[in-house]
Amino acid sequence: MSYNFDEIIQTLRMTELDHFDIRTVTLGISLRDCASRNVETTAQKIYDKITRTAERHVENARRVEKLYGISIANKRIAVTPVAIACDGLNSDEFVKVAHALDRAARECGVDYIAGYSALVQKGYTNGDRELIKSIPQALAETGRVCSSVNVASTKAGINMNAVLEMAHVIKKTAVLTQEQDGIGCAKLVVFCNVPEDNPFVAGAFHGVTEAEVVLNVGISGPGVVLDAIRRLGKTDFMQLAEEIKKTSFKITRAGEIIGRKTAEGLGVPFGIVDLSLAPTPAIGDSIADIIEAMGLESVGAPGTTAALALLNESVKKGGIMATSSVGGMSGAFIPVSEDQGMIRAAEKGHLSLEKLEAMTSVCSVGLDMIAIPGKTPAETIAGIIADECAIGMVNNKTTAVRILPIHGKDVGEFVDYGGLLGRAPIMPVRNLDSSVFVTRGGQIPPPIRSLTN
Amino acid sequence: MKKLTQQEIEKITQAAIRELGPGASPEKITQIVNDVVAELEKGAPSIALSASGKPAEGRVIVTAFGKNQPGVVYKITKILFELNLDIQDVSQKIVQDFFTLIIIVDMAASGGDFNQLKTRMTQLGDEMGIRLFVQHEDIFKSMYRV
Repeated sequence: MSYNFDEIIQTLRMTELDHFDIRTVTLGISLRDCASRNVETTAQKIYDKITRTAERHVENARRVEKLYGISIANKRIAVTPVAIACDGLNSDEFVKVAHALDRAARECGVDYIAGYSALVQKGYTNGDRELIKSIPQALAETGRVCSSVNVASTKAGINMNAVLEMAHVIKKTAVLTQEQDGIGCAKLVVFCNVPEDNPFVAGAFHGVTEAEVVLNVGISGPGVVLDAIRRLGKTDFMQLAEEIKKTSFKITRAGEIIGRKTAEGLGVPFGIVDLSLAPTPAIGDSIADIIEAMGLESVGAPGTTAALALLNESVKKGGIMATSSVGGMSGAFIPVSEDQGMIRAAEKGHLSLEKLEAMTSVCSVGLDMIAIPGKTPAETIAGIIADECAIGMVNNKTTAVRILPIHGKDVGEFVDYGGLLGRAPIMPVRNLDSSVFVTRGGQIPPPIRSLTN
Repeated sequence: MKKLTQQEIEKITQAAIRELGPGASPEKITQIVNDVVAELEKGAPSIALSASGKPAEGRVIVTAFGKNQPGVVYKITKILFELNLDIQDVSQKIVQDFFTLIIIVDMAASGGDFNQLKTRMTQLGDEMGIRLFVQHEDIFKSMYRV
């Protein structure tokens, strides 16, 4: 037999028992040719282009799923940052574009479309300013549109005006979507060093240097890594890292072939594989469980950051051998509401905002899907965003904040979105004033390491 | 009813030109393309899907798990026979009451239909209360061979 009996069984074990799936195939579509003299025509051109390009996206991905017996959890679309594609619009007009994106997503059968975005790390254009102003309304009036704003980078430093403005935007979005527990905030990410080829919604968009259309893939597989670590038992760190690398290699190869075949079926170029371990609320599909399987009583215990660093580095090392096209975030995700183990730890008080912040210095995203009291002042949220940006800026890595100030709720209560977004306990935020600092205005200058030439 | 994209129509045109070879005239090409487009837009399966999605190339791995019972191998191989599929290798293990059966099937030689095979196997699995998986071999090749 050309395949070993155990290899075939192992693959089935991965898909059937360990929740192994491909997290997302995301079709990136350029909207740079859609601007026109009036907003109705622009919105129509955007709708037409997306529905034409992505018409077979879902159907094609289902065919690939069936062929290989590996499920693709999400089929999504990312577009050129709308502030760039439609720089001349005002905020009311941007909302119309958001509706066009929403309708296009519904027509194509995708649950989320991302790219209602602006890149303002060094300053605003008029369009950036108008788009940002429109975000709360756009997210409240649409169901599938996701938004992101990049406010900092290693090269540019931190645009503190944008940081403060985004804190207000988050608060306003939470209020406008309060009937659904502030779900708008789950579709809004503030970034530092945002990658332009990230396939993971909500922070995805189709970068301006990308080709016309491209298909990117995001792998998953915390369950598979967890199973491998549990089977390994107690070994030294070198063996532990080796086991994670081997597992990551297999996951990435599967992601690579599924991405390539999906792109081939659509007749579009294949972009990148994002080597991120993305958890889901399913039992066993958890990053926290992996950290605990390494020997910590709970995620949040001293040693957590080291365990996460070991995991993240090993996933990348295994993955890099498996594909030549690495991109996106490529690191472990630690969203609180989407990971059973994280929820458990947050509920018991083992996990604080500060510990999560420390963890984000060694993994891929940042403070992700964290519910906080609705009464938290915008200036405090701005302080939280600024801290995350500082970690990203100084360490030359992506960081992000997707925080949910739940209107009318406080510590001890829960927010429950169901599905992949999961549920989160409302975590306490330090009741200390940051307002004088965050309202200084202007730019935090870039670090020494930005001068690399 | 499904509208074809410009790109798909171009593909059809190119295929028509290739097929007609030296006998291609603008009228003939237009007629063929119009006919094919009309036919496809009537609700026939997507052209690009059937062009790029025919998984008949290569080999497929059929894996069955379940409680051992008489006729398991017979019923599975009967479907393969009826679909005119060539078995290249078979491997089986029984632990206590449970069996695992892996069959490697060549689709290329017989021009078999992957979807049909998958549907038939899923039905059989449901009838017999066993789990049957049908997967293209590329996934195993990419995961276990460097």
